[in-house]
Amino acid sequence: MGVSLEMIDVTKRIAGRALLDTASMRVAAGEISVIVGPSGCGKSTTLRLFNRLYEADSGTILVSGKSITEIDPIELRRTVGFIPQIPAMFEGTVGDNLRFGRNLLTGMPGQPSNPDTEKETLMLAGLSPDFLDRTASKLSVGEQQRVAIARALMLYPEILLMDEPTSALDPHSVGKVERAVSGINRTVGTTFVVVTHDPDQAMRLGQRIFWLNGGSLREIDKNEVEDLMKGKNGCE
Amino acid sequence: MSEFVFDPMDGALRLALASILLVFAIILSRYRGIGVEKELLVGSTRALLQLAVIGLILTAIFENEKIIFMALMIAGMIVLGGYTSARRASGLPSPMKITLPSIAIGSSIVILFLTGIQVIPVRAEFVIPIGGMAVGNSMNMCSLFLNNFKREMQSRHNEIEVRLALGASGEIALAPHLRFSIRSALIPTLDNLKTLGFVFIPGAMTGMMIGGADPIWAAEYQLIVFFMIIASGMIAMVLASKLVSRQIINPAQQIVEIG
Repeated sequence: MGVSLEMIDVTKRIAGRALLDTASMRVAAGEISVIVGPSGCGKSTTLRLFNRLYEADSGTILVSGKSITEIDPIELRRTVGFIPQIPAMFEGTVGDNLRFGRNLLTGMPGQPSNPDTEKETLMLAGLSPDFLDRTASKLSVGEQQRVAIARALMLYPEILLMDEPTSALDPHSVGKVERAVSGINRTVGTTFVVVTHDPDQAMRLGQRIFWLNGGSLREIDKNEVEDLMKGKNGCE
Repeated sequence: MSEFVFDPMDGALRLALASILLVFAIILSRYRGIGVEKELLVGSTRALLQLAVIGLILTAIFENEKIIFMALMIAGMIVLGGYTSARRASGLPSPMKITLPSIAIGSSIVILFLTGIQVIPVRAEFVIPIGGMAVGNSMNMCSLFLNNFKREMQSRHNEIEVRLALGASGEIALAPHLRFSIRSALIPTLDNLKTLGFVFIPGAMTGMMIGGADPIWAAEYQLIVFFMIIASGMIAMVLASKLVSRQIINPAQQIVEIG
C-alpha cells in the first residue's frame, strides 16, 4: 500500500516549547491512523501541520510524495480535509453547509450541487437525507459532527484529518461517529488521521497507532496504548 | 444675525459659571464612590488647554485663508485619528498601517468631493470643522469596526479555520465576520440618523443655530454632515477591512494569531 502522508524530521515550537522535535511518521493510503497522547502535547497542532493551517518550523511534510509547500494551500486543503474538535456550523441549513466547499470548487456560490450527491454524502456520514433542510445550528453536537464530516466529504478529499471528533459527545453519538469513519474508510477508501486522547477509541478505530509525547512521535502496538496512557495527565 | 457677541472676559465668566456643573459631577462621583474624580479633573483641564491651543491656531488660519494651512491642519487631525484608532486595535500586527490610510482616504475623499462640487466653500471656517467631523467619525467607525472584528476573531476562530480548511481563500473565510463587524460599527450612526432632530439636535446644527443661522439652513448643513460622516466612515471601514484581512491571513492562507 502506498504512503499517503509523510512527516520527516518536523519541528514545531509554540511559545518556546517543542511540540514536535524532529518528529517523523508515515500514514499509509487507505488506512485509519490514530495519534494518541496526553493532553497539551501537540496532537491538534500536528494535525494542522498536515494541511498547512499551521506552518512547521523545519522539516518536510509530503502528501502523495509531494512536499506540501509546493502545493497551493487551497488545493492542498481540498485534498487533505480537516474536521475540528468542535463542529462549527455555518448559518443556514445542513444543505447550505454541505454546499459551501463544493460551491468554492465550482466557483458558483449559491448554486445547488447535485441533491443526490448531498443525500448520499449525508448517509455516508450516518445521517438521514431528511437532515438536508434542517437548520444546522439547531442540531445536537453529535449530529453537527456528522454534518461536518459530510461537509468535508463533499470535496472528495483523499485524506481526512479529525481532531478529537468525539470528545464532546455522549457514548451513543461516539459510536455513530466511529461507525461513520469506518464506513467511509471501507467504502470510499478515504485515508483518516484521527487524534484522540481516548485509548479505547484508538484501539477501536486505529489500524495504525502513533504515540505523541514530549516532542517525539512513534508508531506503537495496540497493546501498548493503555499502558502508555496510564497515569499520563500531562505532557512530558 | 445672532445677538451673541464674543467678549473674552464675558466668555471666561460664562465658562467659569458652567464649570459648576463639572464640580457637581466630581462631587457626585466622590459621594457615590464611582472613582472618576481625578480623571474628570485631569480630562477637563486637558480639554481646556487643547481647545485653547486649537482656538489660537484656528484664529491664525482663519485670518490667513491659505489652503496649505487648511491641508496641514486636516493632515494633523488624520495622523492623530489614525494613532488613536490604532490604539484600539492593539494586538493586530501593525494597526497604524490599517487605521492611518483608511481614515486618510475615507475623510479626504469626502472633503475633496464636497469642496469640489462646491457644497462647502474652500474656506477655513468651513473646511476645518467639517473636515474634522469627517476625520473624527472615520476614526470612531474604524475603532468600532476593528474592536468588533477582534472580538469576532476570538469568538469565531473555529468557524474561520473551518472555512480555510474547506479550501476557502482568506478573503472568503473572513468575509461574513468583516461584514458583521462593519454593520455593528454602523449601528450608532444609523440610530442617530433615524432619530435625527427628534431625539437629539446634533452638534453642527446646534452650533449653527447658536451662531444665528436659520434653522432650515442649519438642518440642510446637518444632513450634508451626516451624509459625509456615513460616506467617510464606510470608505474608511471597507478599506480597513481589506487591510486587516491582509494582516490576519498570510499568503499561505493561515490565520495569524492576534494578541
